Amino acid sequence: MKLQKYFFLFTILIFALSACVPAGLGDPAVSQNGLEIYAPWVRAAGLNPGGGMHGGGAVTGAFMLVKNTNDQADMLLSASAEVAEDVQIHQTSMSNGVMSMAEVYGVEIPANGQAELKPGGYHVMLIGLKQELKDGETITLRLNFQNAGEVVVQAAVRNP
Amino acid sequence: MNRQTVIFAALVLLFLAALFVYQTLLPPTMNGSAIDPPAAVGDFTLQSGGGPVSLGSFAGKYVVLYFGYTSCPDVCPTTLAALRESLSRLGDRAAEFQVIFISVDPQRDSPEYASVYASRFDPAFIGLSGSQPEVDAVTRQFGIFYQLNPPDDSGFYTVDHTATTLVLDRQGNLALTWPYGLQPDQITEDMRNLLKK
Repeated sequence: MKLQKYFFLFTILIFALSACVPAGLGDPAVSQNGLEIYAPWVRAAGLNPGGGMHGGGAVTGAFMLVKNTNDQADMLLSASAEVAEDVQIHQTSMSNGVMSMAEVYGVEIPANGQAELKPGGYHVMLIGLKQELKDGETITLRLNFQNAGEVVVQAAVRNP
Repeated sequence: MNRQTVIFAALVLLFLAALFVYQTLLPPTMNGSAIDPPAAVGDFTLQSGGGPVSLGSFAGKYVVLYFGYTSCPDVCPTTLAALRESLSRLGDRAAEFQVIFISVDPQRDSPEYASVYASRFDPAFIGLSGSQPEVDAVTRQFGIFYQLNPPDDSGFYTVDHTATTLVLDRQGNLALTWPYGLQPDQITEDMRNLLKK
């Protein structure tokens, strides 16, 4: 009888523990040439009419997770989007409380590995927005990889 | 129970009671960096979309200052969004905090745009700008570093800047700073501790 009781409790415990397992990523938004792009999103942003003079216009950032299932490393070289005049890839870095951002010309996606573009790190920067981006919309982003070539993703616009 | 057990139990209870009293009397530990005693920083006036705004007009409220620029798609929106999230957990008491975003890039961020940008996160947020010398003076007043970097071929430039959030107490003195990356629940906790004062 005792063994049965413990077995029952054990089963409950397993169920409870399984709830603690982190949720999976879900399906990739795009899977192409061995690359999988997960959860591409871009921050909602308005327009900045006065900022156009100095190559500004409104600026916003796009983020995503890139998984490389190939045995060869790949590199995100550049990106483009119709909604912005210019698209650059930047990396944020912090030192002694000071934040700085610099353009990078390649984000490495290691072989059988992944690279995450997330706030505080790498991001695709959309410069000179031509239209307002509102929460709930999607925009088309063209990502240019060294090996996989051009991969088109639909990035979800989310409120900042 | 024998006498030994009773004495032992009583001692344990006494110890726990003393610990409890000690904990309650201790000043709360902040997640950010407290400045004790709060430092006087003076007043300033900058421009919003609706006209000049002076820091002194917020006396009686906690002022949350963040210096950034709108062409920053990463750190600045993250911080302002985190502040909005933190305040939303305070309910009505959120009104006792005034968030002010100050642009260190007035060339691209007019007072109107700085105001619009800030209000996109929360209508109560204020966005300020001014002339470069005016903004420069305020950054020095608060010990904030910023640097406009050389433009690229298309004329676009980035701005390095201190990403720390500053909190002024109800008398307008600098009392607390939050580093970039502090999570909303940690910020809310600090806000609740501030409200207790």
